[in-house]
Amino acid sequence: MTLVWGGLALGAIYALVAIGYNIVYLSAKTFNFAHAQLLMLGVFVTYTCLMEWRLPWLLVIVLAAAAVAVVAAIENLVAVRPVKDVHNILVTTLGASTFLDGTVSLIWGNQPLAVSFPLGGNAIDLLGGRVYPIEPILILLVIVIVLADFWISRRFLVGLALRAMSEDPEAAQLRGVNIRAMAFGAFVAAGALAGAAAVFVGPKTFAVSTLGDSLALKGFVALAIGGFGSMPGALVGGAAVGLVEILAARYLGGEYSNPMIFVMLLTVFIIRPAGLFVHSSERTV
Amino acid sequence: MFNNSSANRPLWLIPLAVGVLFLFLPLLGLDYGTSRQVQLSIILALVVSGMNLSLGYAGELALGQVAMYAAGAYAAGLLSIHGQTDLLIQLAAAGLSGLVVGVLTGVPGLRMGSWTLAMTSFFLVLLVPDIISVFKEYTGGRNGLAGINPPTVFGYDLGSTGYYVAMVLVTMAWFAAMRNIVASRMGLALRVLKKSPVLASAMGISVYRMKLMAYALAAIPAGLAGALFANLDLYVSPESIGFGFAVTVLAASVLGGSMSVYGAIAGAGVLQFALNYSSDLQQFSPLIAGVILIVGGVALTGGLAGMGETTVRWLGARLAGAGNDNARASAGASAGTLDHIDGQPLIANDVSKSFGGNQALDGVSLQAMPGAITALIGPNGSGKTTLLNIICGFYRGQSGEISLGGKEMHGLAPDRVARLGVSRTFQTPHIPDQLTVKEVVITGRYTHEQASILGVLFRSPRYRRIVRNDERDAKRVLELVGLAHLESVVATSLPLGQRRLLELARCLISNPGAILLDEVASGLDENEIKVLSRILRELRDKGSTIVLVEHNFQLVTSLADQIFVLAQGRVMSSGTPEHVRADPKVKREYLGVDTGNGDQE
Amino acid sequence: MKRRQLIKAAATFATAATLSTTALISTGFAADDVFRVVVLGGLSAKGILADNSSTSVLAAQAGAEIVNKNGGIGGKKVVVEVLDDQANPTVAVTKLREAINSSSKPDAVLNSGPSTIAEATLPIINQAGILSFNIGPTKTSWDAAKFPLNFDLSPAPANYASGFLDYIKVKGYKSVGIIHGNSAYGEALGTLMEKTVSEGGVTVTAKEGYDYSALDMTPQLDKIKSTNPEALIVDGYGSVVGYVLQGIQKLGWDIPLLGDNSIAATGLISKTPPDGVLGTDAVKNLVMQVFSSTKYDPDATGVNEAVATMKSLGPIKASLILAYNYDALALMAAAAEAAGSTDAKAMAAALETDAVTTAAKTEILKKYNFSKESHAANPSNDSFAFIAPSELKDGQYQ
Repeated sequence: MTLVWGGLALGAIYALVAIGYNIVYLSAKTFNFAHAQLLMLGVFVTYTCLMEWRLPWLLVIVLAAAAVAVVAAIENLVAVRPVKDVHNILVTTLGASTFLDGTVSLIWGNQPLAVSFPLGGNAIDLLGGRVYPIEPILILLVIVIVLADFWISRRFLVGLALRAMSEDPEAAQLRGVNIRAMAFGAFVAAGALAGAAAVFVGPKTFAVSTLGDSLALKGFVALAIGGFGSMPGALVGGAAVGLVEILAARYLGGEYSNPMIFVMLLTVFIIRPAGLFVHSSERTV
Repeated sequence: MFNNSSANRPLWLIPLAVGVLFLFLPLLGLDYGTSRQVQLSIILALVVSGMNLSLGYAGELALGQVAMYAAGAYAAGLLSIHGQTDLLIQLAAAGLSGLVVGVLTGVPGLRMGSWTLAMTSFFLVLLVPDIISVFKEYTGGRNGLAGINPPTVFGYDLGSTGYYVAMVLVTMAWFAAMRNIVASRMGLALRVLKKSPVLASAMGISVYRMKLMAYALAAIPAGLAGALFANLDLYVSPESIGFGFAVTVLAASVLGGSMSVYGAIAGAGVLQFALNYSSDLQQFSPLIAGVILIVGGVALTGGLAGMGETTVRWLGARLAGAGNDNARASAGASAGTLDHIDGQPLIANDVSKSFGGNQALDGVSLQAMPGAITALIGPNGSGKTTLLNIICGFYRGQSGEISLGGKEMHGLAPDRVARLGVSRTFQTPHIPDQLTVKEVVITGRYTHEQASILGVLFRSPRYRRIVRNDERDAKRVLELVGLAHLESVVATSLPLGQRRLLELARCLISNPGAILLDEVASGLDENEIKVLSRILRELRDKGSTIVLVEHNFQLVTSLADQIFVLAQGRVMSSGTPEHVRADPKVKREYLGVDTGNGDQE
Repeated sequence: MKRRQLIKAAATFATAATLSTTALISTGFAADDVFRVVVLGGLSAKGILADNSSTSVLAAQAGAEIVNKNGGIGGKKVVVEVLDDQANPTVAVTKLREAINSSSKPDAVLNSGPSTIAEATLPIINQAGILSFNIGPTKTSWDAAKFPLNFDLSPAPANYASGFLDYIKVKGYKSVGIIHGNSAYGEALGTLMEKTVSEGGVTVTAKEGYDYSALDMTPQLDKIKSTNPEALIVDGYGSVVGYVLQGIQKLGWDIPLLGDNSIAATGLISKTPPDGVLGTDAVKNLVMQVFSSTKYDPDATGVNEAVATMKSLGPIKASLILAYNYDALALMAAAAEAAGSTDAKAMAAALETDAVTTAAKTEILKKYNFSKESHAANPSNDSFAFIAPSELKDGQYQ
């Protein structure tokens, strides 16, 4: 059970990254490959605010969200908006991720830095397993985010507009949705969410300049398994990746983690080509 | 990078000259640093070229090239360690290893699409070191493969200058091959595929096989590059074949221009030199590398090659004056030169199809005979587009038979149906980008007469004959639809009416047993409809089987010999236009309801 | 504090740009009579590797300063040139070949990167007839027959393993588990550790690897725990050390931990909370294998001089374990003196003698035991010490 908790907590972090990819995907049908780096940046900002400046915890959440949102906005203006071709966005956002990697290691150095959590850093017993308090909270956090998304997208105009855009951008535009503003807003909102969530991620992962690389691809696999555009999919995909990674390492050996994730990915694709939570449509013409 | 219309043909001389120049660079006193960068650029360019073939031309975002590169490098390295230092044998083995990896990863990978494939292949790259580790007894695992011997050719030690020359020659050979693939009817077919897989399969091209072929061909340069790399440093390690390399390849492809032949060289060269420069800045190099990727991606849409092409076009336009200005659409189509068209009877019998609980078609039967225009009409949601899609193989009905010329074809894949002789047009014409009118028409003949890959690569006599037939037939059908004077115009720039005629010509060139026209008159003005009607009648008189899927009752009654009226998934009425027009059911249910809106999809 | 680092980094940038053309400052040497030392290091590599490289570079520069103060190498002034190889073998080969083919061919190359760099570069250095020192031993880098001009500074994994065996025997552990990273070094160490320790009569109950990009090592630890070893040998650097310690604590596993020197090079365990875990329960069971020189000793004047010199040139980011390059300069100075020449072959022959390695004022390891057949460092087991974590100041545990 200890391992299951660990896998789910790990999965929750992957899911957070996947959700970030998703928000941008829904609004602009493209991906921000630097999203994991934005989350990493949030963790470092958390480190500075929480550990060095000793600011109150809630304020840190706000500051981290704001800081990462600003960086995301800059990224969008510099590396996404002026780009015309989808494949180029792939390159420019990868460029942004390299840039953020370099910036973070210049500012904060390369040594891992510990980030503490108000509820303490000692392992506790929970439902037959040992966990750090941060782990169930991460799991809870990502579930709350998905539920909140569900609620926002149905109750608020902005959520409806986002859904409409992802279904049919042209029609949405005709109905008066400002597509460019919405896409920009979603990009920045994804950044803010990453910043806020980073406050919870840091205590589990440390602030380290290689964090983005560790998360970027696994987050994407989580997304692909759940299905592009599906929030519950991201949640389930993240959990699946986390669990498979942990259980493969335990029962097969560390070198089997990645291959087993790959096997799972292929299996899902063979059974459901569009991912678990997205229906592939038969209509083509 | 350029289309293969005759005006551009001597352009291959320029790359050849550049290649020869590189060949002789060592004689001009090339310093070590530059020649090393050239060699690394060459290796990168080969891998990028492979990616261009699959990403730029076949439209598949897959990064598997890195795995193929690794396969090539390890194959060559292992051969060398075990005493086989001959570069030619190593290149052959490496190309073959790349090909094997390409086919093995392509077979499952290409069944997925777009982002899914991209992710899977990204992940595959991540697994390369793991796989190398698993076989560490042979590959040296994470320590890398050391002890590779210097390369030889027929027993002669190449030396560093000799090896440089060998690398340039291999690269020139591949790029010549790549150019021959792209500037061929196969290259045209790839562009069709990229534009729309639906279109490709409607033209008889097996999407999956075509993609697999492009992907597998793309593996060859990656494998060759691997062999060149192994022999360059005489050491291969998993660290130089990781995710970072994959990103570099992708970036070079996009920056150079994915849909280009020589853009690979430009992109690889720029990136190699720029990244080498940035590494002098030590801990700042990630920042610089990031900036290079962002600036490059923002500034270069279509890549360096796209920029070059735009410049060449602009210059060309300047030089030629406005000589190529497309004349206004000539209303009078000349009399066709095809004497007889061998139409086949198309028969659908008792076809049913439901989507979930919604019965879209309920026992529909339809007969379309050669030498007649058969129309299928019905209001929105009556099932006519569904029936069209079932005939063409995009859907499979729950029951019923469909045959062309007596051959049963219900349930076959769309490309099989198309190869059996069912040809169709689309509501919104599907025309690939950047092709001339003639080239678009030629793509319609791709599966009608096929050349082997080797034939394409070496321009065999058979291939040349096929190309001559392509040209001849294209001329004929273009004359038939009255577009002959526009044959070298970029097809997407034509007005809608002419694009419809172009699609019709593309159907005709494959000499189809039956032609299905989906909403062929929508969006056309009166004059254009007149031209179209005249051409369709002409085709009918030559023996063609023509099916119109239409909602324009006026047009249908004036043109068709036989009409089937669909309503709620059933044939409500059928017969001659007079009979249908007089049918009270049609009068009440159809004519009253029709608001003139197109049938959605 | 961190804001200042940005400025510091900018300053480093400026120096980096000028490093390759280090000016000849001090007098007493003819301007054209220089001994060129090229240091290959992954300064722009990812993560903690960059800190290790910067320490290696610093050590070489400090060694050069000391050697120059005492008359240089064979009367020539030492000039240090730094090449950033990004810890990528292909880049290393590029830079190295450029340097070899340039008008100022290096007289010695110090490889400060992992063994993959050594694998790629050693044949080239050897072919060019250049003396080299290496801190990333490969399977053959020590072999004098294969690479007559190369000397390994870092003890081979087998040396470390034999130091571990000694310690395990002293402590009386009958069984151990091993957890290691999947780097080239980690894999090699894991394999040799298992071999050495089990040949020494100690049972290895489990040996588990983990991926450096993984974020949780609990599964591997749980697996090892289920085999009930008496002690756990741990390899890893950077954040993974934190994950391993987290996992052990989470499992509530009270077991002696024996860390290798890469653990010791990780900042996390030498800093007190909140930055690190020093002094917390996480490291209460941890001892780490380091060199004697890595622990601060007020009486070790030679080591202290080396540290002071390094410090005067820049901050020492990693532990002194990575400062072998300091010794490389001392070894070369002694060899040139004994050989009466700076010819690579003559110097190499001198280094194979006990007299030269004894005379060389090496500080990181007291004595390198090169021989005609083996150019491995082969330090005696008493060069190693097992210490509990403490604060790391200027690369030394206090």
